[in-house]
Amino acid sequence: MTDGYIDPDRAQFDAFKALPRDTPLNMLNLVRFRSVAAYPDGHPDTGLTGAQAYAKYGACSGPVLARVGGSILWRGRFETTLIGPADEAWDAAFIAFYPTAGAFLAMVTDPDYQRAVVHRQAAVLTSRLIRCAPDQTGATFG
Amino acid sequence: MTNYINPTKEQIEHFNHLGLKEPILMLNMLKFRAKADYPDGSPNHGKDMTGAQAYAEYAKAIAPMLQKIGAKMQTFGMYEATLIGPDEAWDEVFIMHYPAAGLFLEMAVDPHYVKDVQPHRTAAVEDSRLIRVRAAESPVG
Repeated sequence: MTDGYIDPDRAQFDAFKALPRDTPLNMLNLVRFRSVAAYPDGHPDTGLTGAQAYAKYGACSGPVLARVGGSILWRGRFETTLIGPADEAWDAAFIAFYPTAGAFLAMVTDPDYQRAVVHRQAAVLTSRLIRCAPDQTGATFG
Repeated sequence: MTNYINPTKEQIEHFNHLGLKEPILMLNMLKFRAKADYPDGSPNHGKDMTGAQAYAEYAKAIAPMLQKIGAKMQTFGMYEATLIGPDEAWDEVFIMHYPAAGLFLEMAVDPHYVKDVQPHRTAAVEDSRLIRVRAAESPVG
């Protein structure tokens, strides 16, 4: 897998911010880890695997997610890509729920999250983050 | 940009080797063609249908097959935006639950599916992903 989508680019973030902020979100996350985490020079966690760095991201960002009212709605284990690029493989696949898009923005700008995201940036080889509007009919997932 | 509409032979073989008895979830991401691409000779050729309309035909045609094997759709919402990733905009994202991987496979090679159902999907879809996942035992917050 040769692509490297780790963070939103400016246009994607602007498009996200232009969408309604008062509606709930389900964020589909697909994440491929680096074999060795790529921390900035001198970072105390240098040497962790990508999976370990992502676990640190989860542990550090979890409380911020909870504080904004978010939760993990679903978590799956990737097995194979049947249709798509043959080398597209994911180490983590999950859906995070946010009560509003504003809550998501509050999370990503939170100082604790800003510290946590260093682990995500070190961990991720490539990823997808896809915003969906939960069905009006309510919790049809499950 | 390469588009992905159907599996390759290698992808099908790999799928088979993963085991056929386990329940599976298939994560679908679909981008429809502006105009459906039914081949010459197809009853819908030249009907000026959209990709979305062709996919609706697919959904109608596959529904009895899904019901028969106990497959269920698990929706998690309407696609709004890609915040991280390539310039991909999907029209539909959803997860299908199959009680066993083998049931999915039997459906996909069923002559009725191949002849009367799948052509609607092929006509409808410009690009897609179909990803086999297993539900994790315990979601972790």
